[in-house]
Amino acid sequence: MWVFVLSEMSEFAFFFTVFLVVKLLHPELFSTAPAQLNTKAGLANTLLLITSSWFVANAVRAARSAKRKKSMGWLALTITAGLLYCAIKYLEYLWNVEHGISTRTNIFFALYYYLAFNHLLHVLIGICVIGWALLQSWLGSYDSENLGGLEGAATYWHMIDLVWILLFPMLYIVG
Amino acid sequence: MNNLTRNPLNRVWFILISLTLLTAAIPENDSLTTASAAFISVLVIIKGRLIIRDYMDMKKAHPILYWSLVLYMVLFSIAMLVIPAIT
Repeated sequence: MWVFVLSEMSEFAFFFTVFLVVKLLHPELFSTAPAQLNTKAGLANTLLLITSSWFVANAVRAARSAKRKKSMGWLALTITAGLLYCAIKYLEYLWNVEHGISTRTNIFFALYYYLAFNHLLHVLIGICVIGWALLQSWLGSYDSENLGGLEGAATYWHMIDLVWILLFPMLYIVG
Repeated sequence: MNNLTRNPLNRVWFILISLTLLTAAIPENDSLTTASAAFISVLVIIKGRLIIRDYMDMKKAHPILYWSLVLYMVLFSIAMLVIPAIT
């Protein structure tokens, strides 16, 4: 799992580097464009992802204490938070269209869409991974001594949260 | 209430939410200067470290793995937020 997580983080490191280079080439554009984005949507999604990380950390903690049903409840909450994140992202994209923001508006918005959509894909993968961990919990595949699969799924979800913690100020606040 | 604060994960969640709200409040009160970009960068590093240490439970992990993740957050938050504000 760690090889997978680290390779995903390397992929985002590459995107961050591209963003930085373009930002240094267009400082004026990158200082004004973030104000045009829907910061409330970005903030809501940040709060949701942080809360979902809390849910999944509690799921692992409950599983370690052999509280299977409690752990499954936390995992279900994680999936719900992930789906809410996707719903907010969808509404944000609709809001962008209404305000004339598209991938072709300028290079900042092209990069914003590329990074945010790429992150959204990772959230969708994360929902599937957590869903798989929930199914395995329900089937009784985990016990307090054998939690590798659940811990791996949780690590992947936290990685998604870590990347978003960088993306939020980068895209919506500082630019 | 005691039950809520006894779990360290709850405390970390509360800190993370507070730091996020603080990050979002900065541009509304202040035009973005190098100092505020640096402040946001510090908030990002603190949040990243809390997630890595307490949520990912990396305290007991190999130090190379733990510090690689922390370094990732430090490097990119400085590179993405502070360097462009200086140049």
